[in-house]
Amino acid sequence: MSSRAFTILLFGLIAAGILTLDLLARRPESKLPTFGEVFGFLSQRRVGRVLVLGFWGWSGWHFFAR
Amino acid sequence: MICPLAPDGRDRRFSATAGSPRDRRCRDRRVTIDLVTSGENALERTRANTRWAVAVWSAAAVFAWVAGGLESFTAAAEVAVLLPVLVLFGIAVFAPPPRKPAPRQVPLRGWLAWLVPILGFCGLEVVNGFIFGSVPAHPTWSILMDPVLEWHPARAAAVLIWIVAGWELVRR
Repeated sequence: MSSRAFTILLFGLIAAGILTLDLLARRPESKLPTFGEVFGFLSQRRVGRVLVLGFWGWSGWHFFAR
Repeated sequence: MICPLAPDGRDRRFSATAGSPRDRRCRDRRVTIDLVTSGENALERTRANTRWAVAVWSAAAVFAWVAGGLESFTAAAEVAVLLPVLVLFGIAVFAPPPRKPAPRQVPLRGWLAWLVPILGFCGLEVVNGFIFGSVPAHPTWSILMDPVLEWHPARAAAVLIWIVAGWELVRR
């Protein structure tokens, strides 16, 4: 397996992990927060909210402008 | 049946202690009218909100399609990214919408479980980006996405997803 294919596999596993965790978190009585709740938790304080929104703005800049 | 009304339009005998059968009938009729009126108002508000949401998201989809057709490293692409950023930051600061409820109480290990994929992603980005220099053999996420985002519909969809994500973050 080439290093490129291995990298793509790792990204795929990470994406699958995020999807799985989010689905598990949506079960009743789950002890896991959903992906959205993670960002809600980070956004509870002003500094966290600024960082989260700043990261969102930077990602748009990175993918669509640069 | 005529119900006596106060100058403000309320029934003079609109109270829980009103005693005569006529008072009770008047009170029941007033409650019914209030419930129907408030129900109609709520329905109208819901319809207005729905129309507003459809209009805004339709405009966002058109914007995403236009922005998706712009090439990177151009002034137009920069403006197309800065516009939603400024709008959503402005909404977050000056007119914040009702925020979603705070996260449920979950044990610490619940939060820590998310560190596995997040740190894994960050680690992969750091290793491939800074150590290997993001070459084709060791691509970062953005390098992998470049060929996908060259296709206009995919790029437009990505812009729309990005705007929706921004709106969801503003509501958190």
